[in-house]
Amino acid sequence: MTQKEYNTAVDDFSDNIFRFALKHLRNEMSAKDIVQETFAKVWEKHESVNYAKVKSYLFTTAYHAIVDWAKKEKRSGDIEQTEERGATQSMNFEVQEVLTEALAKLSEIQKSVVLLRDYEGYNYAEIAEITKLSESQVKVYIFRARKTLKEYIKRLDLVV
Amino acid sequence: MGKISVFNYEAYYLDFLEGNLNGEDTALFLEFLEANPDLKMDNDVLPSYSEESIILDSETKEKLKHHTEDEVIVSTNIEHFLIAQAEGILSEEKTEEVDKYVAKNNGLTKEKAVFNAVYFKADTSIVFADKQSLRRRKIIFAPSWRLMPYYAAAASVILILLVWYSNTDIEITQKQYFTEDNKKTIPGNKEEPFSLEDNVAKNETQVEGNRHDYISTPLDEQLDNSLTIANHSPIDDRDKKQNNNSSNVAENTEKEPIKKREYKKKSGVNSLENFELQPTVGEQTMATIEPKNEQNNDYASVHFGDVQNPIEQITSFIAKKTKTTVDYRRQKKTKTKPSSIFVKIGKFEFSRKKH
Repeated sequence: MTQKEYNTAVDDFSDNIFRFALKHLRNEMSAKDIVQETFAKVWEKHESVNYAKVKSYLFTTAYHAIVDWAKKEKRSGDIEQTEERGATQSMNFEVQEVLTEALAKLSEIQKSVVLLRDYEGYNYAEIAEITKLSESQVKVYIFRARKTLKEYIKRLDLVV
Repeated sequence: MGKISVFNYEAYYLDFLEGNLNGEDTALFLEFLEANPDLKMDNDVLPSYSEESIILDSETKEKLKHHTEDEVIVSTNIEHFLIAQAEGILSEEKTEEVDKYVAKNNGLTKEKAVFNAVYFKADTSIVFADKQSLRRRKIIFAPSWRLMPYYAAAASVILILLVWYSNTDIEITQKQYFTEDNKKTIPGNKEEPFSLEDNVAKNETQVEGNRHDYISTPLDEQLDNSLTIANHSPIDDRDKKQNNNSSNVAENTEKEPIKKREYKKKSGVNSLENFELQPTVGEQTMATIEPKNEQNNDYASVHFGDVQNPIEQITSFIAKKTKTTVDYRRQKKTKTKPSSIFVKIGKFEFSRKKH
């Protein structure tokens, strides 16, 4: 990947990575850090990265950065505080906002596979490549996540 | 009974709970507990390890099951097919089958709607504002002709500083250079008084071969003439004459040094007292130094004409643009030549050599 292609990737995918990280972390500063870290790592390897696969490479890098961040924050207890803040701030019963709240109920891996599926439209095989899981594992995680989300929404009786 | 006591009953207790006691020991242990009711533990305190107590609920079990499209749709697997339909991974045939099943069971209509609703939509209003910080740029040096004199000046300063700091025993001026050099090489300058007589005496003992660099002066010619014997025949060629005179001088110097001195003093015309003495520096004349193969530290004798300029294109380019003489020459140390460097920027010149 050339420098020009790398800069094109910045224009094309930095927003996607940011949204992906923000949904995960629910913390804008941390999400920005993830974006910076992701692109910095990709730049280090840009000569060996094929531009055709840069999006996948970016999400793989971002995913691992998020997992690391989540582990670190979980140890310090910040992630729980963030979740509480998010839950109390959202009083709007729009489905998407409730879904965002419901996302906090999912495990990190479930969040990742669902967001990769919904936001980026990746198929199971692509998600498996990004998350280093098997395709069947991805499918199981997605199905379980859908059930959890469904239960959360159904409980609030939002969908008629 | 005697073998179970308050000191070892706990081990028996554990074996009893785990079912490891034989019939006899079990009877003995129960008898012991009857006798010591205060040691009997309540059932809720004791952990239960019965296999029957560890069970998974049916919902969890259901989640572990894998389903295939071939399966017949029933109440226990309809949820899976509803999710699969929402995911878009069902075949058309199976999708129709699911729809028919939902239509037959009104309660599933809402389930289906909810499963279709649990999809995230990216909020495109959320953007990463600081894209500029992620971009990478090539650093391209675009020289501005207007600034070229400044570039040249900066380059010159850097070059001078590099040379300056790379040379620990740098000599700045010619005067200092000679002063240092003479102190090292001329013993007469330090301790021995430099007298006219001594100098003459030393000149007389110069070896014959030293004459080849000697430039003849009127005084020399007179001296030479006075020293030559009658068999001397004049030769028009000056070089030949000098060579012959030199050899004669050498011969006479070796054979009759005392007579020669007397002869000089007696001679009214050729007496040394009547002539200004040539500025010789005792043994340190060029003639005496070179045969001894000593280092030539004469600053002025370092010539850079034959030294290559490794950055000729750059210096000529800078010189052209700044309309200033810019030169840089460098000679690496060889067996016959010392390492030397020469820098010229306008009127400023700097050079050094290092043995």
